Amino acid sequence: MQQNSAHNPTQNPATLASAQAALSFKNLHLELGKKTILRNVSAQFNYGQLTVLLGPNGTGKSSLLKVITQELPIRGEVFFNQKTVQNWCSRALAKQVGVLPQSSSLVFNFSAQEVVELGGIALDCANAEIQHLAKQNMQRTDTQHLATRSYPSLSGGEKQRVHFARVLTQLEQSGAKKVLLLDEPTAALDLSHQHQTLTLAKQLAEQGAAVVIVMHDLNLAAQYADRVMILNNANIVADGTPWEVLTEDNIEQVYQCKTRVIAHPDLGYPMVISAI
Amino acid sequence: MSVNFPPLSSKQLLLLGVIALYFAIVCSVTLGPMDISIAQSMGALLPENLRGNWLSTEIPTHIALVIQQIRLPRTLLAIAVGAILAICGTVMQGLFRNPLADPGIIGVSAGASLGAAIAIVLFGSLAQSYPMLLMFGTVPLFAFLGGALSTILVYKLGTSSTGTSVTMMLLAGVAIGALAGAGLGLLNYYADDQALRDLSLWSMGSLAGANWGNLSLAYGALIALFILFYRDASALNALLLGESEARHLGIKVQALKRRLILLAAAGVGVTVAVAGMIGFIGLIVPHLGRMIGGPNHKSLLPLSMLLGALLLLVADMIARTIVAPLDMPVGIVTALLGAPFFIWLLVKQKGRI
Repeated sequence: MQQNSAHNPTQNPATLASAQAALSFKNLHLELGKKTILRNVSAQFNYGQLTVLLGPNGTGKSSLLKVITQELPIRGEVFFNQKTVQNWCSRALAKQVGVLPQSSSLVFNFSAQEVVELGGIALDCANAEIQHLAKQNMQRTDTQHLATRSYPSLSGGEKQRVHFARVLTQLEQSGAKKVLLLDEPTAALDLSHQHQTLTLAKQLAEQGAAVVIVMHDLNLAAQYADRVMILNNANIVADGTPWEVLTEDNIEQVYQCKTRVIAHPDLGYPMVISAI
Repeated sequence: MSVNFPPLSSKQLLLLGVIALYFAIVCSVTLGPMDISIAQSMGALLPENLRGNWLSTEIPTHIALVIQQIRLPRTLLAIAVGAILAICGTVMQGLFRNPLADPGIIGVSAGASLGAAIAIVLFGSLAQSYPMLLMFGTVPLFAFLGGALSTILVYKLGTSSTGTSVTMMLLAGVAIGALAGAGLGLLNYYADDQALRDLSLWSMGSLAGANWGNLSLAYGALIALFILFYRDASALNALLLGESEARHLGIKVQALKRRLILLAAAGVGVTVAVAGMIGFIGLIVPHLGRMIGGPNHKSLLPLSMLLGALLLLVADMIARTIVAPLDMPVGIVTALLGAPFFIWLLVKQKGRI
């Protein structure tokens, strides 16, 4: 297998372990009804890393994010910057941890820019500055041309990018060390915007942010992730670099699909293709 | 249906609203069985040393008395009640994240009326000796309790973590309305004649009972509510994104919801105590406000306050003149305006409920 050294596909696991933890959690447990969604899950998300959470539908990826963000009750422990999340003031937390939900509904007729400016609620700055930041972030997510459009009239992918700009605005006062939890940010996006969004996420991680992305596209994960985690049957079953995790055996075990993993001819990251 | 980008800034809109409100006040003071000229009513609204040349018409004592004791209090009460109902409706629509929420439709007014009616019947005999105590004490308090209980019930039934179910919200309103109706009917049998008359006034909604006592209650409530709601304007905006999104933005959602529910119920309770059940203001006004000035609560709340005052004042003028010299309960007028509007909204939402 030929690998492009510039993309360093076999990152040394030691650097993973020594990285600084942004969010860490121990023995997380979650039951909804009779179903165990998470069983004693422990891990950490590090600054400067883009981590992709993979796993079949319904294995608790979104639930894990919801527990970490205290939307679902925490059974176990969650730390942000080494301090229990429950002890953080919600506003201080909001300035540093941004969450992009899978989908959000907004009944009333805000313009796209107003939605982005809602991110500024977490900040301590004047309206004019928030407007300025919102415009900047709309440029970064390629939504500046939608600024005056009414939000409910946007397409699914456009809404998703507008919300990404909102989350970026929310984190403007955090410095480089911020946490972004993105739940399927690329699901509704076209090809070029998938890459644009993930490139932006990658840049943020390179600048020091801890970026966690839930997604289903294994090849996108392989291309952008520093680290891949697979959740299956209420637990983390694989955790490491894309080359370590995205193996033919792992994929068959988790997805019950026969695949072949080959190296991308130009970029060197693993590519999962159908074996049939 | 919507004007996304208002050609006027929110400050200009508010200024326009204030001017319109002034003219509506003058009209309201001018209208009535006794002939009063526009110049006279404009004059009577100003202190003597401020009346200019053309307003300096002598105002006869009996006219001044009618204005001071009857028309001005009623006008001012219409303004306060309309404004309170409108900002409470705005907040409830934000809280339920739904444009169909209205204190009247979801049963909050009905619950508040039942509370007020219980107070009137139970403590009615006290009223002869302590009218002020009744006005400031038990009736508003019971109206508030009834309104708060209904709001909490509707909220629990209608909302889940995924949002508000409109169907559940409206049906809960129907149930509470029926229950309150039965309670009111039952109270009719226990009420003495005086209480019975008060009750019928309450169930229709009327501004005829305006006096400087209930005016001070209404304006106290309006000012307090507006300040408290306005402080939560940003949080309300965030809440429109959804509860979890608001939480991620650092809003303490549980506390916010509790606070807003209690405040809105208190507002509706006060309006029910001073003017009875007046429906649909809280439904129509936030819609108009959003169409004119957009959904941002920072501009919507003040705009709704003005529009609500204006709308109820106009409705009351219609109620006073349409069957003159009789005085129709203003609740009938707002229902005549509001019910078709509600149907229009339902048609628009058809298929989504």
